Amino acid sequence: MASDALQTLPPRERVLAIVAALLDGIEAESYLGTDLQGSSLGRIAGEIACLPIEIRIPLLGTILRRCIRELRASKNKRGVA
Amino acid sequence: MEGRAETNAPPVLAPWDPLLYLPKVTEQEIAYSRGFLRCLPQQWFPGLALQWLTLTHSLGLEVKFSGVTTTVTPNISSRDVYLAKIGQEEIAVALDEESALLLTNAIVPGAPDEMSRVIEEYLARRLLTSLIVGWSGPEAAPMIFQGPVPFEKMHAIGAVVLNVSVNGFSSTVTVLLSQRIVEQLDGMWRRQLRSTLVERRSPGALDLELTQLAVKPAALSDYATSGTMIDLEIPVSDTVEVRLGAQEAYAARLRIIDKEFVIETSPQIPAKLSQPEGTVKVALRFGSFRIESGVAFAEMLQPGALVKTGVLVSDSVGLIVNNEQISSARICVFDQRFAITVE
Repeated sequence: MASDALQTLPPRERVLAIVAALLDGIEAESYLGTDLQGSSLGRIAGEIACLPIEIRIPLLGTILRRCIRELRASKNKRGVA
Repeated sequence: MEGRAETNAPPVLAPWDPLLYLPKVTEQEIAYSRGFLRCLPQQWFPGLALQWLTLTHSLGLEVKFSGVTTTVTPNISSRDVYLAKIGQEEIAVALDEESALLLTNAIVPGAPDEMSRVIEEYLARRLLTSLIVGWSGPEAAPMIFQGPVPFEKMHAIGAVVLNVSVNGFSSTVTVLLSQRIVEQLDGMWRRQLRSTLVERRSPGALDLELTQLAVKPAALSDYATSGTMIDLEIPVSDTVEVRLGAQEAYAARLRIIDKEFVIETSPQIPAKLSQPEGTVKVALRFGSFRIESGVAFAEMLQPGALVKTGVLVSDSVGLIVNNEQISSARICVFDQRFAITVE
């Protein structure tokens, strides 16, 4: 499932895929498909863009908030270290 | 224009040192001044704006491209640039801090810092991809996005600077280019210019002159008398005239590379010398140079084009009447105006 694939990405890439899917929908696949690490980021962005809208917005919103918390926590941890 | 001879008045003269008064240019600026630095890159990306239309429309943003310029001295203040490779060639997008803030805030107002950086990266990736998709030139290798890297790690020698207005606020997006890409755009522009040319023969010798004066025959002897100071009554500037025969004249600005004068073609048209009846035309000439072909001449005529003249940097000019040098003179500065003292 698309959301499972999304969870396999590191937090920053997760945010990137979500931002891309929310801004460009299915087109996000082509904008992120040129990644050095391969095309999985673009494919995942394309998949989550195809989720039904009633699931997509709340699901991506929840994941996005969680990712930002994770990124903030890891930044703070680095700051303390 | 007639100079005013002041043989008896004690003139307060300062030397005109071209090395102090004239800007210096680099070999790179000269090399790309007739192609890459003159090109209109937007004409090679016809569908670029369209690729951003849906996004900006859905976000309710009013986006306008207010200017596109090329440079070989990119001024990058951002820490990181977003690098991609097209085959082996590097291309990158750089956003200064203010522009990045404006653009990310326009998309997600009040986005937390962690998210702003990601939006910035996405915009860079999106721009790079839309440049590749919109490219109408020769087929390019596939692009691979490399990620953010420090500017110093990229081997950029040129850039295309996009001035974008978002909801009335200006931002700058810089697309940095490797040498091969700059050379490709340079070559494309020059080939395009060449393809429209009718006259391909060399125009012959061009004269590089400070100005021309209309002098009464009775005063002509002053111009050959050593020590005569002549106030040219023109403000000190870097503007000169490039003359092709007696009829054609082009305005240019004087530049320097090493010990040589370089001309930068100016869009202005030189003021025509008003020559009252019975006066003689005296040209104040730095020297002459040849343009090897009609193609090179057409390239030179583009405003902003830089051409080496082979004329050595000097504060001295020859005083030319009917194509014969009657004397030489040193250029001076007199009350912020050009003056000469006959040698």
